[in-house]
Amino acid sequence: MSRPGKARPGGWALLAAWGAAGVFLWPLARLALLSLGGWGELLAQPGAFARAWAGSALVCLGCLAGQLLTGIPGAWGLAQYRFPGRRALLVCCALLVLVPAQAMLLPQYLLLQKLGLLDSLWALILPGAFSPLGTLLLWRGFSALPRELVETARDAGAGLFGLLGRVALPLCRRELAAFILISLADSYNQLEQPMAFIRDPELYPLSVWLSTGAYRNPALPAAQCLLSLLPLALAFWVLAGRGAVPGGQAHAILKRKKGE
Amino acid sequence: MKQQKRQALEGALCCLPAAAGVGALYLAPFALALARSLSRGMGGSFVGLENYRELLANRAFLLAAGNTLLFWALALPLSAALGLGLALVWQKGSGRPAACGFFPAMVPAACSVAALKALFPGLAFEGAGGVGALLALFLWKNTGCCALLLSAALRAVPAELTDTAADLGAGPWACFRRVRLPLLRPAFGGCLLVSLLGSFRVFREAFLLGGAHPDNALYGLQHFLYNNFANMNYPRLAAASVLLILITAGPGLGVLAALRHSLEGRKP
Repeated sequence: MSRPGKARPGGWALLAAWGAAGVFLWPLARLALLSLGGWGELLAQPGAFARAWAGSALVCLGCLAGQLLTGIPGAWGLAQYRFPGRRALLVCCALLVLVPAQAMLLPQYLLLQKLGLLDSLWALILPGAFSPLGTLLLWRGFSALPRELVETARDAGAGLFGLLGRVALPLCRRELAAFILISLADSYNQLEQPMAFIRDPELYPLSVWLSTGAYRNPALPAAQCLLSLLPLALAFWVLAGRGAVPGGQAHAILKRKKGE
Repeated sequence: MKQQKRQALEGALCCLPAAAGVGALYLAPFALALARSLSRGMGGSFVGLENYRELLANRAFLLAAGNTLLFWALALPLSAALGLGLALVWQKGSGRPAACGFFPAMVPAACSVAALKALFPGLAFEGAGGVGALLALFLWKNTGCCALLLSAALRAVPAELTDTAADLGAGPWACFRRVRLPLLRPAFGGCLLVSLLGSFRVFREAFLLGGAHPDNALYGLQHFLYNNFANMNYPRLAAASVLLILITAGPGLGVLAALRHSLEGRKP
């Protein structure tokens, strides 16, 4: 993406950029400072924290699996084929991005009640098993793939899975990384859904569990918060790195294929 | 012809899981809520728009709606303006500072509330100060995302354009205002969308800070929905949910219809 001959930022520009970033990181640094006295207590009795964490991890991975299994083929179908109902599905996805989660709370509650799934982790996984935003992101990526590339791969005998796994998804790494990151952050940070769908405090995921405790030592919840942030920070580190891979390699691959 | 039919079938099969997701997880629940909003009592006798009429006369609902609108009036322009400033600061260089600025968007509500309390130990969450705290939380979580969108758009402005303008005698300010700013319009649209979604999310923090019944100035739609949920006032809640979905999706449909040609783009 970078222009040839783009000027490297000077000292002041660099300082301003990191200064602005510091403003955003400062509250977390303050929290880290506060948490110093709490780590011992947290690590001595990790039981309840670990249980809530395990619940959160299950919900996150369940939602992610569902979203990828529905989103990847869906985005591919929307991008590469024409069939009746295609435009309706696209419009539905776009509109659902706009609808706030709170407005779907009661509708989904009524559905879960009918299915008898309230008060279980399924109540958190099932409503999150499809991501309109993630599907749209991938759809844009898949739509931008050069047509010749897809046809060349098809002519070479690639089936649907080969096309997706070895051509389309590797070229749409950025979109896929963004999809996964959004999905993980969304399901890890659920708050209204667990509070509405789950009565049993033993089943609370970490996001809710963190806000329910009352402690004499203010450093303890700060340490719990930071520890809960760790998996997200790791995912962010890895996926933001993947997303930084510049696109536009499709043309290079195409050239190589034509040369063969 | 046969080939074309096979292709259409293949595409429809690919989209089947996604269509099932939309249908089962969004459209079916919406239909259930719509039915509930038009009826009342255990037997579910049909009452027409009675629930909607009561909702629109409900003082708590009007207070929540008014507060939400006021919050948007403050938060949306501020996040776009600050985002533009940050985008200008972050547009050159590695992108790592911009990534740091984006990270707060992913911080769980309990953590952002804990950080706020650590920074301002004596904070009373009420009145204008409470709105300010909520606004600060919103900007902390949301401005980074706006800045990312705007700086990507800034980087996509072709250098030839600004160079030509400079050759024609445009100063740096005129270059920015007359050449780059107009090209940022779609990115500002993206900002607006992200901020709207973020404003609904920030009520999680409001809920954790002020509880289910906060100060009047902080009572948002979120609180209204949650309280009616806790009181099991489902017909009213169903009416509010349906109304909120229609209010958000309706203008969206209009925008999509207006943008139809530019969105469809290339035909395969």
